[in-house]
Amino acid sequence: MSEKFSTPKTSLREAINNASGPVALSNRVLLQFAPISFLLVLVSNPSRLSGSYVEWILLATVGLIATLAVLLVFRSTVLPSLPGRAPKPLMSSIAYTVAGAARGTAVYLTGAALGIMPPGEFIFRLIGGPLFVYGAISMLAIFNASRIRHEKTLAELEIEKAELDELRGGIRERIRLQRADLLKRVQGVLAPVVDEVKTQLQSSPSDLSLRLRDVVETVVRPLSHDIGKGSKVDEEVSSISNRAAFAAAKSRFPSTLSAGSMIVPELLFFATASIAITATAINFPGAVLQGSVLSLLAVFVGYKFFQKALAKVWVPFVFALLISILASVAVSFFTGIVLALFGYELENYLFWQFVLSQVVLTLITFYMQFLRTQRQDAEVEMTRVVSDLAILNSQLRQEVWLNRRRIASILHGSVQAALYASAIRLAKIESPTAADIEAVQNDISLAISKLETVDGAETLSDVLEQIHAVWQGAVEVQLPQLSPELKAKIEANTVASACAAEIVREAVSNAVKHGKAEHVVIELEQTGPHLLGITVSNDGQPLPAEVEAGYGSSIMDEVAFTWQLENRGGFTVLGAAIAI
Amino acid sequence: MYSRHVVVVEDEALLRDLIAKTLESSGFEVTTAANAADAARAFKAHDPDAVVLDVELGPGPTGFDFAESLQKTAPDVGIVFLTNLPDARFAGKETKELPSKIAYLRKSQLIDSNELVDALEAVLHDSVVSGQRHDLQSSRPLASLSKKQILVLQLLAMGYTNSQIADKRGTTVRAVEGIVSRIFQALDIDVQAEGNARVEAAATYLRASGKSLSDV
Repeated sequence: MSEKFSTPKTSLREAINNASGPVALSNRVLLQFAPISFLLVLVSNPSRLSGSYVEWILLATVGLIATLAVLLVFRSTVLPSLPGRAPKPLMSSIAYTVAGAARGTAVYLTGAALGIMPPGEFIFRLIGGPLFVYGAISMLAIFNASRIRHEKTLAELEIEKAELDELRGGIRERIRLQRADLLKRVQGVLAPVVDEVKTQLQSSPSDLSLRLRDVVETVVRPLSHDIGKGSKVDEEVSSISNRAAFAAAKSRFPSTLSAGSMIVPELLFFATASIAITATAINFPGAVLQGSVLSLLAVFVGYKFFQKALAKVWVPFVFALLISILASVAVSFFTGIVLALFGYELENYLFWQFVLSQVVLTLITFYMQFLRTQRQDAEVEMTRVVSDLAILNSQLRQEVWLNRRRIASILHGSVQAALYASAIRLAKIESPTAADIEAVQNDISLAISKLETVDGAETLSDVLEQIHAVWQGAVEVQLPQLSPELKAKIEANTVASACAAEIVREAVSNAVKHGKAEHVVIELEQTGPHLLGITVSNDGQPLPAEVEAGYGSSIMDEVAFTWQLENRGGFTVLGAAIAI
Repeated sequence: MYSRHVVVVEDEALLRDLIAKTLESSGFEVTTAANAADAARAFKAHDPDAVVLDVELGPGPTGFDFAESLQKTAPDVGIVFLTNLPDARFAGKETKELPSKIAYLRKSQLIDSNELVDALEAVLHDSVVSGQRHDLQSSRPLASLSKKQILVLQLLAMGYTNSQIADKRGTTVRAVEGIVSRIFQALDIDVQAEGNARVEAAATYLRASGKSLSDV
């Protein structure tokens, strides 16, 4: 089964807001209105009334000018097309009604002057005009507002992605600097020691020097490359960037659609209004109201039925399109039957015109829904991309932190310890033997070789046990019960595991030192596909702001995806999430 | 016959063994531990008189954490910190937060192993002298700065702006500007002189902490 593309639900409130918002009278909407306006006049009139196409084109032009003139007056006075203007449903309704009435009157008067408009048409024009203007402008406004909102959302997401990309670039640069620095510093640490050893050991200094340099070339430099080479994070970044490109280009074709979601009864109701009134006005001039109400009700109920019934029918694009067309034909027949049952049977040619108009309107709404589906997909995808990037960035920050700690602990720990130990040992020996020299070399080599053992570090469970053991007797520390799956997942990610361990250690340490806690409870749970939630609660005093913003929070900022410290039910609770 | 029992807590095996041998040859019974948890277990098993304690012990609790725990469970135990850190401020703590009757030795200044033995004797006899508190020496790096100033300097060295530092510390930019200004003053950095005062301050911090830009 291919991926389902959900279509956003239509909201009446949103539709009203859009139809009466600043987009409704924008140049774009008014330009789009022009061809529709022409089309309606040319399709629905020449076949039933006299007059040449040239005359009807003239009437269409007059109708359009009259409509636009009124709308432009409203736009320049009470309905400005300024971004951010609040919707004005009442004023907009008045504008559409007046514009439609002006349109109907202008068309009627011009048609009468040309001798192609019978007097009975006037009332129909006066009712149909406003309904048509209302329906057409509303539909166009809804469609365009949705497009503008979508573009704005995508633009915001693009900015967010760009910021995250930039941040990631900065972090990557820091990782690169770390790598370069590693080699430099190992050499920097070793060089003076070699010199010192040289001065102390009179025998074979060159051999020792070569050996030490050999260590740098064979151990430290390859290690530097190893730290620097692309990790799986690089592949993920690349994959996410591709997704972002797709989202931005809106290029995903919705392969499987909900057939019901492609039908929008409310829009079809509006769009049908003027047509339904036209048809009944022509066929039943004495019962325009009853005929119109009946046909519009039938249209609305018919489409609503299909929308509900087909909501969970997920089909490929082509089938969804066919189903929509068939539904529009079925609704047309249903409307015809309802009218007939009440004694308002449409003439044959009018009925088929009605069917054709329903098919055309359904195709238009299908297209609108299709675009909305595509846009929603793009927005959802882009939101996921930004979220994934944020998590990736958090993982990169973790890498930086762990790299830093690793380098520091090895250089300031193992390497320096080896050097100090050698220095202390040599200070005790008056005349070193070959065995003494070798011992010194071995010590230093052993220390440097630790650079290669990344995974030898303690697991999170080990560290939790250590925390428990260290504070036993002083504070009661309750460790979390981890499920085997979560434990395996945490321990498979050594970077996240080390970061989680540091957060817990810092939280417990702060609780005891600053909060004077006696009970500390540690909880771990997976809170998202890539997030591990850490909660450390204690019964001590709330931490002062100074501590919150101090060393601990610096570590939190560095390695946690999010974190907060709060007082809850008499407990001080540190909540953190780390990317995993 | 050993008369005193000491636990040596050091994550580097080489140094741990060397310290242990040095102390044994000076008449101490020694138990070694590679991390704070092992040390806690050793304390339970042996009830020692003193501890020689590194601060940075790899992942998990630090030497400061263990010392804090000892203050609650065994306050009469003598503590000798033997570490690379110039002083507690570099681990985000005030010196006064450390237990009072301790010795604090920096590894880089310890060439003669007798210094360690002397410090151990001093904590056991409650007779620590100023020379055994390397963390209080006026010649130690950045001696004139407070913990808060060290933390701000650390953030400055990481490249954060005053506004970002204010965000991180939950304070105002004006407050951070004040702290930074006092740091420049304490470090004798002339803000009017040619060159960038922030860069100079960052370099001073890096030299003092023995770190580089990548590991601040």
